[in-house]
Amino acid sequence: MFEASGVWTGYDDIDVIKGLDFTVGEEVFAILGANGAGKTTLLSAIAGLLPLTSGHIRFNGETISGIPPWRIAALGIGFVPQERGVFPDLTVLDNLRVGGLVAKQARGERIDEIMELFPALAGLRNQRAGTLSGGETKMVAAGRALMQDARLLLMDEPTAGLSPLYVENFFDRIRQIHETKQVAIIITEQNATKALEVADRAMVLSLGEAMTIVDAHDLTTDQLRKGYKI
Amino acid sequence: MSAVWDYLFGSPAFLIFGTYTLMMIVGLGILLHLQLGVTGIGNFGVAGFWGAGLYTFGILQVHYDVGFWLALLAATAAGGVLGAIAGWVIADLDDDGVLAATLAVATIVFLAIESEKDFTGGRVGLGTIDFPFDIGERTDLAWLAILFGVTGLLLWYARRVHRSPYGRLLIATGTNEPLARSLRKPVKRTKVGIMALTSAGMGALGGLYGPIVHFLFPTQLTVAITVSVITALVLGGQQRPWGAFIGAVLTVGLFDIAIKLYVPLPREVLEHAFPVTKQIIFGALLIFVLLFRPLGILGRMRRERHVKGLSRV
Repeated sequence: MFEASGVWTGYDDIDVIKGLDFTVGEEVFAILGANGAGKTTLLSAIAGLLPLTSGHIRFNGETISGIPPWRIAALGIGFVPQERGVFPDLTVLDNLRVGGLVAKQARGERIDEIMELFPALAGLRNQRAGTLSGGETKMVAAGRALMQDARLLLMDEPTAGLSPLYVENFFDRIRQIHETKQVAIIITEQNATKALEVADRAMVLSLGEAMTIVDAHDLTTDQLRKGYKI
Repeated sequence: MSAVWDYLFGSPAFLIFGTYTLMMIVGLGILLHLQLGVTGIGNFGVAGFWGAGLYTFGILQVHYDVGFWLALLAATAAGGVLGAIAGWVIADLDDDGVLAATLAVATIVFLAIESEKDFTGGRVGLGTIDFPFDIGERTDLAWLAILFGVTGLLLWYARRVHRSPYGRLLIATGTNEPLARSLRKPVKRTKVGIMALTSAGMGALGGLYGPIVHFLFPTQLTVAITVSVITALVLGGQQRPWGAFIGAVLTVGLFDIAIKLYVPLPREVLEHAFPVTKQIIFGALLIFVLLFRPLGILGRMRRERHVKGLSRV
């Protein structure tokens, strides 16, 4: 489904991601790593928001590196950034609608599905997204990305800054999205324990390089410590 | 009663011209609202897009005897083409770059019109341009009614845009462009499109202004008109379709209508010191109201009343 080969990317003259190779199937794939490991940079590059220095990325057999982000989104890759994941001046409903601008399925049906997935949003339909709490904002951001007919969801630290109760609930939702909507998910996290509970496979990223890629339940504490440089 | 009537409407020419100016600022303000308030494009070159339409209309009417509708269409197209080009240039610039680039567009238009002689008449001016119809003394009033209609249409369109999928896309682009880039619509095309559309509207308003002044001069295209439009919009609230109307009434309505008509200023002051003072006050006002962005002073007052109301509950 998704394949990254020899991916190098970064900012100006600084290489942040250094020659990554990995594939993702119809699964939840966790990218774990400490601050500065390159998780956000990698997802931004996959979403087309950051150009590759070298290498290529393929999705469903099509090369997506080098094409504009809106075309990548049109191919079925939805991006949920860590911060500023909503349009603050639009209501919750309008955030979802703008996500589903050109979706094939009827927009109303799709919004109902998102509301079922995140029941807390139902009562907030007409509230401006800029006035929501952190957890509610993350739900809107995920819902907006799902409205885009996403087949692969890129979620950048979706539980960062959330209270433990929200974290638990959000990881349940992530698993539910994958299972009920058949959406593959690449999720970056610092909270390794929770991420590994929902992930099928995991990659430990350290300073832009893949330290290890294994089945989630096979990942050892030593491998994590080595990756996090603890 | 007669004395009151004479006091209020004793100078109909002044009143009508002041209301023309008011309607022009409202119309341009509504279009700027779609650019700045909705899409986040800080256009500091309103005078350039408006002037491109004004002079295209004038040149076609004066030099080529082109009919009103065709000249108006050309004025609209001139604004639109200039807007599309400017939109393409500014689409990837940051806020400061957009302000500088649009100001540069207005400066280029101004200098081109001022230095060109054969078509624009340069500083000497270009004229005369007449109304497309003549119904005697009521021609002025009829034109004013048309301007009311046009600004009303623009307001209706702006309100419609707010509720449409296209409007949501524009607001998304304006409030969070990095995220909007990962939607399934190209942000650059969206920005170029709205710049072309709204600048075409500015060009059309320029064309409609030609018959009002009859004679065109480059001095009509200075930054003063841009400052007036921005001041009105920001004062009234840049994110509301009605913002430009409220702001224009409080600025142009006060200065170009109320004070000019009803405050007994000496003629010398009115002709020389007043316009300069007005611009100084508008500039200072602009700086002041920027502190109240994006709701404007009235929006802020309303929000504070709302918050006070909540605290009493």
